[in-house]
Amino acid sequence: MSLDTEEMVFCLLISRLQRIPGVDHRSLRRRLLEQGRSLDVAALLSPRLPLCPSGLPDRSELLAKAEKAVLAGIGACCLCDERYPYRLRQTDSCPLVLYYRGREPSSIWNQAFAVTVIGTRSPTQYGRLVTRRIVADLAREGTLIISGLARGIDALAHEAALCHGAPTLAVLAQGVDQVYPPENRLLLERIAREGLLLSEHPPGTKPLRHYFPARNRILSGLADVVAVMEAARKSGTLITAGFAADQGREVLAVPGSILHDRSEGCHQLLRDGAGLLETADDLLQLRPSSVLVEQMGGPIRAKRPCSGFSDESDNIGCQPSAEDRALLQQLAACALTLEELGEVLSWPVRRTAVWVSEMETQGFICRERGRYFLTERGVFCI
Amino acid sequence: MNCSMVHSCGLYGITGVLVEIEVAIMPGLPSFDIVGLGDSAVRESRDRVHAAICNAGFRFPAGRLIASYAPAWLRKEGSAFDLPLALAILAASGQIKLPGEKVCVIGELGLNGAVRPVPGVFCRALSCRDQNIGYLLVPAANQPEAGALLGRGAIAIKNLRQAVALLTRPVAQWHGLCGGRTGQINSTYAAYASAAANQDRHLKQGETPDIGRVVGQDAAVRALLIAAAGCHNLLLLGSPGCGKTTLAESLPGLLPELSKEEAIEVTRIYSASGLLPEQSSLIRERPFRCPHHALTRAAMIGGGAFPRPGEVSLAHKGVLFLDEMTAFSPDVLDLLRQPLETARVCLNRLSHRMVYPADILLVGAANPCRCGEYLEPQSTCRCTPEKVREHLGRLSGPLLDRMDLTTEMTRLSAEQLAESVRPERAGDRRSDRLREQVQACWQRQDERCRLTGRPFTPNGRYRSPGLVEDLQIAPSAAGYAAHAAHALNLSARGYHKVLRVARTIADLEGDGQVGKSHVGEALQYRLRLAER
Repeated sequence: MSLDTEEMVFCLLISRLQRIPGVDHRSLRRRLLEQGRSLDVAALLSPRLPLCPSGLPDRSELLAKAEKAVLAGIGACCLCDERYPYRLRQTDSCPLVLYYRGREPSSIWNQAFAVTVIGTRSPTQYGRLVTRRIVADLAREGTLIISGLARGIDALAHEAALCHGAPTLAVLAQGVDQVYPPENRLLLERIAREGLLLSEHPPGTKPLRHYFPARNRILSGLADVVAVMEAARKSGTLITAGFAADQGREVLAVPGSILHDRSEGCHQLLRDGAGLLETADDLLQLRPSSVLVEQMGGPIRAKRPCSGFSDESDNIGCQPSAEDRALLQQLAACALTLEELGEVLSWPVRRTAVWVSEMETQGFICRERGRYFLTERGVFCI
Repeated sequence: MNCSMVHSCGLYGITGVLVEIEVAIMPGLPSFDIVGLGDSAVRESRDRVHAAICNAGFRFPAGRLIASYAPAWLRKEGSAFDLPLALAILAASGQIKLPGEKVCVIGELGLNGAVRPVPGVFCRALSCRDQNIGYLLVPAANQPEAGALLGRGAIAIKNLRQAVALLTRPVAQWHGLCGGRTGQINSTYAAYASAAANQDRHLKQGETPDIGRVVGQDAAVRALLIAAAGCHNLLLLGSPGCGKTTLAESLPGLLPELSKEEAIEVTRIYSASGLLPEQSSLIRERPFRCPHHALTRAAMIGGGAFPRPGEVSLAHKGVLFLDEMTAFSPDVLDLLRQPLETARVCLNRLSHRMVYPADILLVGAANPCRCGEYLEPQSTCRCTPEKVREHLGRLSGPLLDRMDLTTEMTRLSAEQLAESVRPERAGDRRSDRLREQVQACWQRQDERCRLTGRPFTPNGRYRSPGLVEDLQIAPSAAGYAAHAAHALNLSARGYHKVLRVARTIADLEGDGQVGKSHVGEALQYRLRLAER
């Protein structure tokens, strides 16, 4: 039996133990830390516990499962292991076991500087823009980008990190071999190849509603800093920010427009003492001191950025004229409908439409939810 | 000879079919039978005719009575054969003598001998005209309908006695007897017809809401004008209460009047469906249909045991407005694909194959998401982009492909709302001014079609591959459209739509060639689905 399989069998056993009603989780954690791999499972199941021993699976069944998982490229890591993420280990509620899929797990999760990027599942154009921009800048510095592979901001953060060759880590609320949400299937597979998928649930677990808030404590625990890109008033993002505060992690939030309610959550966080996030530098200056980094084996160098996503490198030939630039500035403050834009420019709808098409074709603005926004390029140009 | 024959006219779909009504009286026990595939209304006509003959002061013949409706293999329906049957019975029993002229008779009989109106008179009159039948005896209330086609050949009949009196005189004296088109209005039918017409929301030209009532929404009004000018199908997306329905209802007011041929086609459909109000002749205004979203498949494209025209055909040459389009059942909506492509509907049944015209301008209105607030900045909408896509996903891709124009509307501001409740200024109808523009635009399209030697095809109906040459698009404009299609990720169909709409915009402005600015404006009316 290979080492991997042995590890997997042990981790599966722990996961199974956790699910047996009546097992004292606190003592399980304590004993696991004390005894490590030599943990006497039978002792935990001593007659004092009103527990049916048949709750524990047959070793051969566990072995079959473990072999199948290892074949699928899934690994496991226990709290008593040395390679267990050091940041996560510092938190009180860290999971006893972690399952992962991807390459070089410990070099990814022990990256010198890790930022968890979170936000709403239905971002505005502004939220998208901010996420792409900040993550791209972080990625250039080789920062580990952690997120939850949900729709919206999460997926954008992973994509941006992959495009800039930075390591990325997705914490899932389901087994690492399960796909959820379905539209992120391709992204999930890409992260499995180029980054790392992580979960506290054994392979084959389906995502359940209450797994998501629990998953959020891992998200915040794995990182040095939590960056909130865009969050509405009642958002799951705020749960993660709450965990981060409890775990002593720094929380930074991007402010939004006061004219929309899409950033109310961020504003609430700022009011409650979160840091202001304007540029990636706000995050980068929170990097832990180099002494600590050296202790942990030094930062891992980022791969070369891939082409195709980088905003400044291509398409740079097309610049708006001075006149257009002045007009584009009307959109800098807030998004406008065609009629509102026409009113601002005192143009009829026809003329506005022609100009807007021109700008849209050149990629300076785009329209969503009936309103025109500046794109990343547009912001860059004005 | 105890045998007689009277011509009448039945209805097959929206086409009139000549029917010969023969009656033979034979010795035997008294009985009265009708043969020739009649429906219940035809069978029940025995009792109506019996009573009407007696009450009009004639004698119902004793003996074995057989009535045969030829051609015997064709199904007959309705009560329009009552009057000709009564006349044939009177002729067979020798009480009257039929004239030598070929006369066609239709009408339902009351028990007292009065003649009641029937549906489908217009269709029947049309086939009489085609068959060179000079005289059509019709119920007085239907005289204008038939008169629109046959002129003085359509003779109004009030009761059985009058019909008998007419037939016993020479044809030259007929007009003196029936006294023109003064018809005694039958109150029950009048009530039914006007109720049906009201329910129909078939708006008359004068009643079409003025587009000046719409406050703000400049982009949507512009899209509506383009839709009218080039017959482009239009999709209105917007929050509840932003004026989608008001806007759509004012569309018929922007369209030019029906031509004579178009009016005949439209009237035919309404007449066959029994939706023509009493005392009305040709329909002059464009139909506006807005069926409820619970309608069935048959109600949409037509059907039934005797297939009747559905909503698409009732909206022929007019507007079919589908309010809350996402609430329609997807298979009902998908039925629209054939009529939108070919401008007609084929109904294939085991026993019939009907083709109804269905040249429609489709206008759909829908909320952008389930809660409807997706486009409002200060809203509580928590619909995710997936939900929004799913919501519009109820409209199938092929159907969305056929919607040339899409416009997203947001709610009015407080000042605009205050303006919207101000009383209308009388006399100044913005719709009339816009209609003149549309009229000119149609004329330009007609001229261009004539140059290329094809029948009048509005820009929205162009499907040919040679779009760029036919529509006279400047190479620079086509290049810009292609570049934009690439940059904005448009499909091939999306690209064609932009070109067609750009052509209409150029026509509205009176430009011979489509330029870059026209394409630019057209690009803003494309459909955008929510990004992830």
